[in-house]
Amino acid sequence: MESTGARPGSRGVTDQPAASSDDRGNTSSAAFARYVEPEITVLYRVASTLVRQPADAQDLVQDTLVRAYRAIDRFDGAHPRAWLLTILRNTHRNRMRTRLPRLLTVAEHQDSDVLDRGGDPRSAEDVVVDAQFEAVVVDALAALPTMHRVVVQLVDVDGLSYAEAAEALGIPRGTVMSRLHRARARIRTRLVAAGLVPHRSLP
Amino acid sequence: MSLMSPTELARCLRTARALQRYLDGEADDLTAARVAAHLEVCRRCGLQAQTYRAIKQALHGRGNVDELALRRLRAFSGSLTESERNSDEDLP
Repeated sequence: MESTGARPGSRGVTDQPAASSDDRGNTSSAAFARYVEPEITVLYRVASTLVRQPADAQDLVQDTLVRAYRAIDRFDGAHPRAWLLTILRNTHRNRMRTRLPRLLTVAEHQDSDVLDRGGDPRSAEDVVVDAQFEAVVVDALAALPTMHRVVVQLVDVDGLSYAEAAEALGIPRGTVMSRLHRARARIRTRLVAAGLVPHRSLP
Repeated sequence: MSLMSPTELARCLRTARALQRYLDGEADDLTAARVAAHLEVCRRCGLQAQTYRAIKQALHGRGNVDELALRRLRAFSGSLTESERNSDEDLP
């Protein structure tokens, strides 16, 4: 994908002295390919959590990619995911200024609750119990306050670290932890109420 | 319900405070070792940890992304770098 051949007179790496490091000699395209493209899946996951509508998520990632591309020459190469999540967050905030704030609306659709377990080797009883467990978890997640739900989705569904989730939302890491703690405790309470996990209490 | 000693109670409370970080792999080594050791011997905390692990597992399986959308985004990303190469080639 990346052209590395020397083209006399062209911009980019070709006129750099041979002693230059790869980092210093890279063109914007090479830096973009190295730092940004491997993170597209994460960006799309996070965007999908933030805006929920697939078309909006794609638009948000596209805008983020454009901004990242314009800024790549100023990026020092440290923590590309955190850098990109900050761009994504700022892009999202700017888009929200001119649109209905979807992050603050009540969940609009919960139509993807398909419990697909094709090819699963578990017993029928286990599948049923696990499906009940999952259904309660998903319902409990949907019932959480939005700011709590989003943190759970970023960490548990999208696989972000606490620091990355904090970066994506523009909140302190400690806030991520406390929201996560409360959110999971609420989910667990729903599971206890459904009789799917034992009650446990400290004296 | 059996009575817990103050020491046992303190250990359970300390574990409860660190449990989420431990399960998420975000606890430091010392805390992780302490939590793991307590979960080995405390049934009550062990059950709680088991429940939270199952919650995480149930949610993790829901992380499928739209492959078509990803392909479109990668193509878009490629078009950004492609346009730079084309503009390079246009230079004298």
